[in-house]
Amino acid sequence: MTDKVLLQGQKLYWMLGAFAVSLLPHLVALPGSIALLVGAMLLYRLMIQWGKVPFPGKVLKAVMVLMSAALFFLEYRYLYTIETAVSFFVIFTALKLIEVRFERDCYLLICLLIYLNATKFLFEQGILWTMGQSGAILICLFALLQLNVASTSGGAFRGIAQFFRLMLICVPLVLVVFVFFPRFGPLWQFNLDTGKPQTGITDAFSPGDIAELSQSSARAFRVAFSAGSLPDRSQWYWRGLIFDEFDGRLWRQSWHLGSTALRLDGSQMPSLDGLPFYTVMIEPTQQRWGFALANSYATSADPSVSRDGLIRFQNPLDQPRQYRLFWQPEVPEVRASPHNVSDLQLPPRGGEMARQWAQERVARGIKGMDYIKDVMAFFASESFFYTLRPPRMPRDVIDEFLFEQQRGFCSHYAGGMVFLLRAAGIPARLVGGYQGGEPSADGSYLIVHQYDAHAWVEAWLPETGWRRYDPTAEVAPSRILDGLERAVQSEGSFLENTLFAARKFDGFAAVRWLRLTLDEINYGWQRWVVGYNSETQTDLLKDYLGEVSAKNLAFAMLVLGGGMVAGMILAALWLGRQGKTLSPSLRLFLRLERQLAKRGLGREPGETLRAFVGRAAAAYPGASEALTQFLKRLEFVHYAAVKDRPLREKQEMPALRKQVREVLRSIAAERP
Amino acid sequence: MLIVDAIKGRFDAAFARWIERRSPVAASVRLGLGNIYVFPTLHGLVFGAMVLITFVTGVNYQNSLVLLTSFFLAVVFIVSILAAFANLSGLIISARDSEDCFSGDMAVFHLVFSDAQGAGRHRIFAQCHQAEARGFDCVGKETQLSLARQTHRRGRLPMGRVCIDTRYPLGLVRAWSWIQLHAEVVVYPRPVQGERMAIAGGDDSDSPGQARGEGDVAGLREFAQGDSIRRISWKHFASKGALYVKDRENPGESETWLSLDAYAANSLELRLANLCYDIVQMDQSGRPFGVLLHSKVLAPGTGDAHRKQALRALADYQG
Repeated sequence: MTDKVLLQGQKLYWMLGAFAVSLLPHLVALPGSIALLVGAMLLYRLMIQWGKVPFPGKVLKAVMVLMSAALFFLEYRYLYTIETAVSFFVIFTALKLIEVRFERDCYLLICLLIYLNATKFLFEQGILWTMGQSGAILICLFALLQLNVASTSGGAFRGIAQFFRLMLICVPLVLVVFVFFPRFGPLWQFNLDTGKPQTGITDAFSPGDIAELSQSSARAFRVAFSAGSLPDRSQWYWRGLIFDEFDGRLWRQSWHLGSTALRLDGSQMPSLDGLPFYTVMIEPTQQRWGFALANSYATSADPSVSRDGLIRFQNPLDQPRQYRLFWQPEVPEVRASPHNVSDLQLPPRGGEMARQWAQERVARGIKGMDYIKDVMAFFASESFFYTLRPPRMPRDVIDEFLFEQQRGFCSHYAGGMVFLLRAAGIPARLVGGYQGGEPSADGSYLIVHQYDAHAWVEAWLPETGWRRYDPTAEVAPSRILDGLERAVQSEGSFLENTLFAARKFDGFAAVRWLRLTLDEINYGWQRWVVGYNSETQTDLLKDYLGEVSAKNLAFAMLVLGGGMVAGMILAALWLGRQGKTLSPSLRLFLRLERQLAKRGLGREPGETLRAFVGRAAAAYPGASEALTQFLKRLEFVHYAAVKDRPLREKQEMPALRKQVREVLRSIAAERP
Repeated sequence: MLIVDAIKGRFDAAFARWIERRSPVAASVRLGLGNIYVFPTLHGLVFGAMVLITFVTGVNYQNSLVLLTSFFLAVVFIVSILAAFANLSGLIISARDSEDCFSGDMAVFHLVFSDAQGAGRHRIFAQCHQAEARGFDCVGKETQLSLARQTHRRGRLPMGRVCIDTRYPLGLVRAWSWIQLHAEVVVYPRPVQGERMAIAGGDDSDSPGQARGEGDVAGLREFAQGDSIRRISWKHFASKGALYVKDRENPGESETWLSLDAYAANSLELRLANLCYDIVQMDQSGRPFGVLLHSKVLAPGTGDAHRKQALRALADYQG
């Protein structure tokens, strides 16, 4: 039937268009040679269409497959990542294009293209990308419609009106399914290696890293606090990593902090009832850690919260993630006990002046909280200067910084302080994360940028537990209270390496407004679409469903979705019936006809009204008078002048009804 | 193979009975819930598999947008089921009278699709036994579709079951309906020139053979407006360059009786074919003729109605 129809003309061009728009987004990210191959295949198919070359034979096809395989091998060798998988898929689809000859071949190709489009969402989830990918999927479906739509009219976009009507019908159903479909965990575990570089704070940390981050106005994460629980700005310390190993140059986290084994168990968690909570929407970093205030607790298994209050994901973050944490605002310390070795560790050499500085004070009997106060006072009093352009310190980072240059930024101060504390035998560690945040346009959430990256100190004393100390606050209070921009205002080094960051032009109210408004839209998108998960689902639906369980969700989805589908069926039937309504007198006649047919007096095909009524009158002599009258009036209504028919019908209807009643009565009485 | 064929035969018969019950022969059929069937096509199953794979991808990578895509595609599939149904629903199909034909010619059935809604229907196919499926679009209130079917023997050829189907909108599902309409084509025997023996009954002073032999302008008059084209003597047109028609009122012409028994052929069908040939010839000559078919007698006459009556008598003749 339709199977062996050659694909050509408009249908072919739409299919090729779908091919192009589906592959283009992938080609941007894939090696140039593969893009060339895809382009060549597209050109080949066009040449076939224009009659320049024939369809390839078996040998040529085999050669093309072998060449593509060789190309794939040359590009990737034995690498296996998600990128190579996509790349393989792209090559396969491009080769398939050459085979598409008949209309029936389109379907498989279009299915491949749609799936390719869907996989792009694994890499990109922004609003613009989503719009682009949705457009590509719609073009794929439209190419399918071309094979099945009326061919009579409409030009290149024939069927576009029907197509959009169909798609519009889909929208409410898709919404219902999206909102209600129960979310569950992966069926089997994947490690998605998108091959993207890691961003944000890394787990090996040299002071320069933060200076580099401070040049980026990219978003790190956003935080929304539960109503009324937004703490004071001086408390916005987002802990991410603990660096407890120092080799004289770099700060690292020791192995036991990196593992997730030290997860808080239920017995160590306080009751979460009535605690305020906040939701963090974190940007993909390709790393496994998240950020949280001290003393936060998670209810989910992924991410988990460690004994030291660190957030850990099971897999590297390859897409925006949303997590919710409860926290205890009134408790400033982290309770976990110190690690005797790593929290006191110092490199074997270096920092001799610093060690001496500590020994002097210990010898004088200054220890514990007094010593810490001394250190903080040292930073406050000496001529320390906060700058993003510290001088080079090639010999000894600690001594040169503390006693010679005295110019640097947060990680220099924090590193120096940890060194001084440990030298005096106080367990201390460097904490890396972010400090600060920018309220959103409507103040409902905070935006934390990469330039908010910060490092500070946590020290442990038996009487206080782990407590936060921030030497930077002593040197440059504005860094903590107003943010980086104000702190380095005189220097002009804020985002100095970034030419066109919108953040730099915040002086213009319009730019600032636009930037924050766009962020709000984006946040809504990430929160309600990209980050929509079982937690969001619960938040959204608990007021309506009571308990948000998979069963309830499925039930609600089926009821709502099923209702819509049933509505559509009814609409289709009703539309089909519309306009078919016969005039009242004819319906009356059909009723009579049905009654007669039930008694074995069916109307023969082609039998005229008059002949039929005549037959009926013969079979039921008692009804013959009424029947004849009925026929006469019916003929008068329908066969007199066309012009006044509705009026005549209106006038005659009562009489017609009366006669039909009479006929039916006498038929019922009579049994022929 | 025999067993398979037997099972297939049984199945076909059962299916035919079922269709017979579900869609009895009628003057017109209205497509709706009761007689439209919907099922995914092979392409639809491939599409469904793709949706499933997309869904699993979304779940395993915990990617909300991939999940959303799979939901959207699934809904598109469901809506295209509805759209395919709606594309057929409400159509009223009736048969228009078809022309008679000779055996061996194509019998042509005319289907009329009325769409009171007038909104337009897309790519509907109709198939009648082995007759070719034809795709068409209903655009106005009424669309006519002709289905041609090869004829092999004289008689009355019913249209039989007609399958109306559509794959609109995306080719993923097929909606179809089996309908049966009161429609038949009267198939005349195939005209075959035969040998006539003695003439049975009637005035046989003139035979069709002689009638064909006319060479000059005798019995002809000039063509005038309103004359049937069939009566034009093309032979005279070729030689004289003017149009002449065979004169109906040709004096001296008398009635001819054609009888089934007058032919020498052994088989009845062949004799009917011979008779058919002579009826056609007589009709073209324009002279009155009568037909004797054993018990059935057609009084001599001329004209299209007479010809049709005679040929239909041949088509319906039972041994």
